[in-house]
Amino acid sequence: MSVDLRTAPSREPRPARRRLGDAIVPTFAALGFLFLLVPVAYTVVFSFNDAGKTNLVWRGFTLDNWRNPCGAPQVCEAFGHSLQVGLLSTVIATALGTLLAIGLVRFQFRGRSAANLLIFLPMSTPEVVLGAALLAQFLSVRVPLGFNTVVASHVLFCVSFVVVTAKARVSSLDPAIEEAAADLYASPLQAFWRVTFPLLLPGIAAAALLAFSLSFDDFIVTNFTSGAYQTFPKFVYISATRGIPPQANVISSFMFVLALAIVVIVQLLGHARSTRLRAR
Amino acid sequence: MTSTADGATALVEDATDTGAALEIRRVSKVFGDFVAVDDLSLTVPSGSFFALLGPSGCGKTTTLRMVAGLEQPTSGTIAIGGRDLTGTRAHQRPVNTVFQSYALFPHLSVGENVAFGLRRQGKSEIARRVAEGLDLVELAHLADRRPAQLSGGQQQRVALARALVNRPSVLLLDEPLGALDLKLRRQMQLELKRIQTEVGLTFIHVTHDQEEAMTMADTVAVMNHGRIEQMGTPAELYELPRTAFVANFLGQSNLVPGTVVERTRTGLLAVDVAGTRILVPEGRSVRSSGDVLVGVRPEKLRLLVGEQEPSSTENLLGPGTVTDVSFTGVSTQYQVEVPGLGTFGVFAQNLLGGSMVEPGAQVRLAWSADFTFALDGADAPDEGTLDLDDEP
Repeated sequence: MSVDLRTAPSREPRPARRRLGDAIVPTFAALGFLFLLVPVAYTVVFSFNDAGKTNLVWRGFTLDNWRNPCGAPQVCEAFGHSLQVGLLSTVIATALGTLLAIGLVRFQFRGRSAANLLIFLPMSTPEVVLGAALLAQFLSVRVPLGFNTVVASHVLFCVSFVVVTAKARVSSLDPAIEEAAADLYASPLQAFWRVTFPLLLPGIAAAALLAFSLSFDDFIVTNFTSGAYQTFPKFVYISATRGIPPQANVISSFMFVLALAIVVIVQLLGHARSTRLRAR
Repeated sequence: MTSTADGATALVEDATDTGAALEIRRVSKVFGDFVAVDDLSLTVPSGSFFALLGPSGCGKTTTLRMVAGLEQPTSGTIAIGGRDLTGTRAHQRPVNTVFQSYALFPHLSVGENVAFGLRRQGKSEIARRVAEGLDLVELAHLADRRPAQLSGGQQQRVALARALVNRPSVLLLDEPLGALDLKLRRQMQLELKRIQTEVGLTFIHVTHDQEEAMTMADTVAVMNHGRIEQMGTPAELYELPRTAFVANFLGQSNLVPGTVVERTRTGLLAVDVAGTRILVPEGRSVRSSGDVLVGVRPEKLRLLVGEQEPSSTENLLGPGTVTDVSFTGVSTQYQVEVPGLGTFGVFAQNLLGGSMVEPGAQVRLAWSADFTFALDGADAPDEGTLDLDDEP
């Protein structure tokens, strides 16, 4: 790379106003990040707090909370419930949503545009309304509230997000590619698993991650539809009145680090793949 | 090139048959109100290189897709090698397609792309067949690459190898060279022709490029509005078009309206064209009486300057004014405006170097009566001419 000397930036000191202008954006960006990250930092720091009854004041550093994250009553039970609900809702919502996305993009049928519109409804409805409506439904058909109703509700609102995410991927897929599979003797099922599915996989994976995170931290809808069944967000909310145990901070910090790790790994894999392709 | 020959030989030796005949009988395809293919019947003999030529929207691609099984005809039957395949689906037909967009599987390597059809059929010796297929298109060294890492021409050849390794009864090519630049397209035309000759399969090539169709195909069917206008060898279609559409779509033609006035004893029709008597061999006229369009190809015309006289077997029109002269190297193209008849195009070989006349010159047009043809006078003289807005 050669530098054209005629257009190289001059080294003369710039006017003070320019320097101030240049500093504003980074300063605001830094403040923005600070604003976003302070609560996270607080959660992580207080997971090491040698808390007594409440975890509001710093009482000294300890690793006990991390050694025994299930120490506080019900923390791990609620966490386990959230994992179960999250995983099951994700599997169901991702499968349903992907099929819906394929159907909405690939097939012409009566009511397609209406379906396209309706699929956005659960996303745009306020969660309070959604939760209350679901509760009314469950009560009127006399379904006992608990694990099943929570999963059903989570699938309901996760499906919309999955459809929107997966649809983008399906639309970018050249229909001729699936026709080529059929032309090369693949039955419709083989064409789906050998060609369509692998090509949609990045979109499906992104949709599944989104669905899981939505389900895992949902509080409002869960609160309406869970009855006595306790998920992690519900546990945190309820215990907030008595003081949240530091073990909850441990689990939250753990989830945060896990999510961060997943993002970093995906980025690294993508980077490694593109360098490998370029090296050939 | 030697490796190519080996691959091709192996493919040929393996072949139990050299393709099969395709028979399309009275096939129509209707989409809503639009008739894409209108009562089309067509037989393609086994082992031939057949081109379906027509402008975009003429129904050629729909016809191809019905043969592939990607569309089902509204009525009519499609048989390959004597077996009626109407109603069967794409994966059940012994037919493979080279798609216009190539439609390579982006998540599979080149080798896996080529192996795809063989694996689905549960064939043996897949590795050897894939290697042969890639040899045939001279891409054996790229078997491990992903399609996205190849150039357009290479992707095109992978698509071809992927279809050919299955040794289909009929190979369908849907505008396979459309996305390539001109030079590469010429090269691939010769390459495709060579491969077809070597493997001997039945090739059906869909294109809107008349030059491509004429260069490669043994038989060309010119399609328009869902019907076949005319079918024949490229030379037949060019020398003796039977409709104004074919006359204009395949090369260029000078068409002028006239009326048949007499049948001579020597088998010629005398046609009155704006007061001038033009002779047309009776066998080269669609009609033997009434209104006709008299036609002649631009390279058959000769410019007569000054006192030059035509020979006794030549037709003569003019005088007219030269309005444009463009030198193209091999030949010179003239536009001659003849009052009352319109503009004639004339291609003259540059045998003596340079152009013979300047714009504004008065010339007469002469051509051998044997090269004259006559079409139905009801045809529009400009049907099938190139419309720039229409080009796909």
